Amino acid sequence: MRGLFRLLPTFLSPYQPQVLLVVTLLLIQSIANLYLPNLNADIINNGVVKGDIGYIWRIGGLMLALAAGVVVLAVVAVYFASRTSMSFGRDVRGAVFARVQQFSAQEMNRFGTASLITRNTNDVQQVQMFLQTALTMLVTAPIMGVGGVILAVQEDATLSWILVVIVPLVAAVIGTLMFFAVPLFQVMQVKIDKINQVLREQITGVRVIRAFNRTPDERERFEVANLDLTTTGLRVNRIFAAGLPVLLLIMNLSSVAIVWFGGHLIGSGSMPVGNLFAFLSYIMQIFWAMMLAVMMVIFVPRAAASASRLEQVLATQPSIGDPAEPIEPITTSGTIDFQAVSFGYPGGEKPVLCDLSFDVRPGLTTAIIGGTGSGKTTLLNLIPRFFDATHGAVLLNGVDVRRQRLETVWASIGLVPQQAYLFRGTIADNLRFGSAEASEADLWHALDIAQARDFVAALPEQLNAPVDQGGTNFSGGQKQRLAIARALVKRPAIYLFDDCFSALDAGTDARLRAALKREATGATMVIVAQRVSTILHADRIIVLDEGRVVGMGTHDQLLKSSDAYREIVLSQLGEEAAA
Amino acid sequence: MMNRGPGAGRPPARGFGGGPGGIGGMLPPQKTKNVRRTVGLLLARLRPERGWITISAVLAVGSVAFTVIGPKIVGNATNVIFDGIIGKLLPAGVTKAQAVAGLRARGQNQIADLVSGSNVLPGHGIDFTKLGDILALAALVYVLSALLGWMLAYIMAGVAQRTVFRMRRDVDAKLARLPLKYFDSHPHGDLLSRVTNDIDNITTTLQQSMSQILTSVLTIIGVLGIMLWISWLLALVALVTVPLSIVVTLLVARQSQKQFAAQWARTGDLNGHVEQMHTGHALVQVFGRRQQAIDEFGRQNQSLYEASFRAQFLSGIIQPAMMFLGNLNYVVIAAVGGYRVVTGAMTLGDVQAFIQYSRQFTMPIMQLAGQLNLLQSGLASAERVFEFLAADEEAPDRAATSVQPKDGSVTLEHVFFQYEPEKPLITDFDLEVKPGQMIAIVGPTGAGKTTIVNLLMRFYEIDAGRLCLDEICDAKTCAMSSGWSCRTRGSSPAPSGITSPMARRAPAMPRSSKRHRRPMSTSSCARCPMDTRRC
Repeated sequence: MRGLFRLLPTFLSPYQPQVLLVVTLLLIQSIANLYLPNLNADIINNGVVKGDIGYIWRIGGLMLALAAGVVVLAVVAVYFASRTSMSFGRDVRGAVFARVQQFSAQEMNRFGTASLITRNTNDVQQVQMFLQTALTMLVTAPIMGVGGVILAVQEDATLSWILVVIVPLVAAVIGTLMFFAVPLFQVMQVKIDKINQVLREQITGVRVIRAFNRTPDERERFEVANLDLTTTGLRVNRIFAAGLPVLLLIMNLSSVAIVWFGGHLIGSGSMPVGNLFAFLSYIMQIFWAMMLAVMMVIFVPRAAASASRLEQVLATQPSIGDPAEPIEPITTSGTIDFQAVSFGYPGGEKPVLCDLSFDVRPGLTTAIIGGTGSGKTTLLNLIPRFFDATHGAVLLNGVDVRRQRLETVWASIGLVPQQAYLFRGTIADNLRFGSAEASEADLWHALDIAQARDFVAALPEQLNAPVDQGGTNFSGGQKQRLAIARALVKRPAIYLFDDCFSALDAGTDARLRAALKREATGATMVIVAQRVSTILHADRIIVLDEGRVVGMGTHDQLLKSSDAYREIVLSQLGEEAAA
Repeated sequence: MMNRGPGAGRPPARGFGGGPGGIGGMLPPQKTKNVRRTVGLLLARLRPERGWITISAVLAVGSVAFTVIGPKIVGNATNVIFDGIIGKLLPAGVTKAQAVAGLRARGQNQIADLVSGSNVLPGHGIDFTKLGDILALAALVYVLSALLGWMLAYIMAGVAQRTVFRMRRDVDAKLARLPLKYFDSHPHGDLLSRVTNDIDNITTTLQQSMSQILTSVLTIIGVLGIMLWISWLLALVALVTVPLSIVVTLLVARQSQKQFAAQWARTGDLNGHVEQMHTGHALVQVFGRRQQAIDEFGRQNQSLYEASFRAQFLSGIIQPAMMFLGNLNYVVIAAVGGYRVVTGAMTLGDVQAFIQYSRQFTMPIMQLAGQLNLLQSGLASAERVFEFLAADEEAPDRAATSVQPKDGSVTLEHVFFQYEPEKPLITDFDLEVKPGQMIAIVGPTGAGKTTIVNLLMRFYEIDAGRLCLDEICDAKTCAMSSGWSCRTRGSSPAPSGITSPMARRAPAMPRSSKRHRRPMSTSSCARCPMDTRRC
């Protein structure tokens, strides 16, 4: 609930006038609706009792005019309510998106991409719809209650005590209902999520479950969750089952009470008979408004949960940002220096990288090799500042990356990650990702080097061929080559290739690297690889083992000096290569 | 279909149940393909609960009956009061007829009419004993109505929850019996949606819609009946608003549907953009596209705002329109009713009861529209779940012999297999593996390497030939217990240390044309680290 109470005021504040207007209109509308019974009382007191037919028609006409006026007010209120809630939704969406754009890899990992997507879309939708109903319905209930009491007191102070007692009583009943039901709804949501999670795992992990004969265990797991959810669902809905009948009963019994006490008042002459009808109508209107509010209460927990998830994102400060006084490096030739760099994930037991020191010079190919988990990708991630080193410094172009603006750091880098990801659009759009002004000739040139010209040229639309979200309409190897071409188009000073040649067969791999070497003569290339064949001819190979540098040199040097390297070569290329 | 991804287009909340009119459009319009069949299947699922449902129906009739009589009884009480007032104004000792005659003689025809229509005892005031009795009866009726209503809701809660419990259990059991082919050929997102979102939707429908539709319909019939009995003229007046409200609702709904369609389309686009920018977060940063991402988002966000504002506004108009019609009803009844009381054609209490009835009449009609919307959506969900439950299952094991794995020899003889017809993959494949051997399978992309593993695991069944493990052919138990290593890059034997079984989510399927490949879950492909196959 706290999330709602923080989120709503913050993002509603620019719309205060509209909100006020809506509330005012609804207030007037409620009072007008409550005034109709007054006029009805008038008809009875002065028209019916006195036998004045003309009076009846006159007041009837007045009531009609009032009803028409009410509708106009209501429509205007809906207009502004819709404007406000949709604007709210738009603003929150934009704010969350902008905030996520500032996130570093750490925050992305903390929340998870899927969760962030859901928060940016579904959660905003929930809160937005809640606001819409709140402004149109939830607000009406208390207004009707208060307005009803005021008008009743004005009509006849003696009888109005019933309303003064009833309205708070109803509010108390609703409050008690909410008090018990709302937390239970939250619990139910958790149980629903749990069951959905079990099912999701059973679907995505079906091969593993069957291969390891775990189906009975999974069924058991599901049965437990299912029973749990059903039990809670029963309890929640049975509590709610009592709510509506109780409220209706209170309303009806109040009508009975009003007729009884009103009868005595009328009998003693202290109240004209028409007022009785007005009171009965008040009761009905107030209760219907409150009933609506009760029905909407169910949606508060969901909206509150969504709001707190949004708050979490908005309140998170990105851990990596531009420094207060950025330094611009003098050269942009693309030198990288690691100075005693250590890195460990926050909360991790042992550091992933330990005391790394080496330098990377332009025009040279530097390869990083090591087994799984040796820290290769982490090392690479330190260069564009996806993570910051916990000890030591990473220098780009001679300046600590933490002292430069992020955009400056990134401008020098062309990244090809392990998993190629393409964006929806055309091939040309994707290739121009890093350089919007690249010409078609530039694009073809890049495709040439990336060994992708053939399959792109074979497509009917060629450069304008459509790319699905994520590039799913291309094979793994094709995606990888397009991703490489994308980096090439940018013409950065530094290329970071994170194990991206593995999707290609050996022949294409070799041709591509040869073309790369020819093309990017002045650039710095850092290649992370698992395949030794990819990096055999690198100018320098850095061997990583459990986060430490255990060897540095050319292939031939390392064969002689590094046991670890020799072992890797042995296992991959066989005896002859290791000799 | 998979372009949109999990977040896009799928509406989050399940219908704002029961609220009158204008919160429509929360769900994209869902049409049931075969309503009769779906309803039939749903009713079949409810059969175990038919005892409780019958009791509920009786309770519903009882509760509604009491609710409907109530206002009439209170109306009678009001008449007692009114009669008392009129009585006080008349001289005592005369009969009603004499009093009326006296009034007419004095030229007070209007009042004479009024008196003749009432139940007055001239000279007497309000009969409080009679009033007390009538009101006590009313109170009793109301209490009974509430009691029955509560019992009805209580029982229906149990019915709904138990039915959905059984449905969920059946769905989970079905998941265990489906062949792998089903999982590979249906997008995981869609499958997940059917077993989660759609079932949630059905729960809501069973929970709320069923009993509320029943009570709404019964209330409408009951109230209509009693209104016609009291005064057919006023009843007709009240009825006039019904077609009016239907017409208004339909008109507005048609306009707003267009806007909602636009809203959903733009939501899908925006969600797609969000998904891409978040998934490709690192790329967006390094390639310096943050600002463009934000700008593009801003554009799409704004256009979504405009569409959704129009949609909300249009559908939001329904509620004030309904309120106006309700008020119109009230005005006419008050005026016309007052007139008829004055002319002695009706009693005041009846008019007062009528006012209450007209409100009791319009409420369920408004609710019914919203409930029918929910019901439609629930049926569409039910159809999707039933489709899932009707899918072909794996052939059951012929002999349920549980055999302990012995030495682990594998034989394939003249094995033929293809994923798709007209596209043969494994043709006349022979392989003999002796216990203790380590076999490597290498080949270019699409040769069928992972397929062999799929066949060995009986994730897919061979089309022809023999497949033997430990000399036992087609023995399911043995096949299931073999360990299973993930293949590494380049299909060469893994370097030491990498032999962990991993979930291979993307199957080795031959590549058909780019456009008509089988849809697959994007997320599962992105996560499998060693899949070199086109996802």
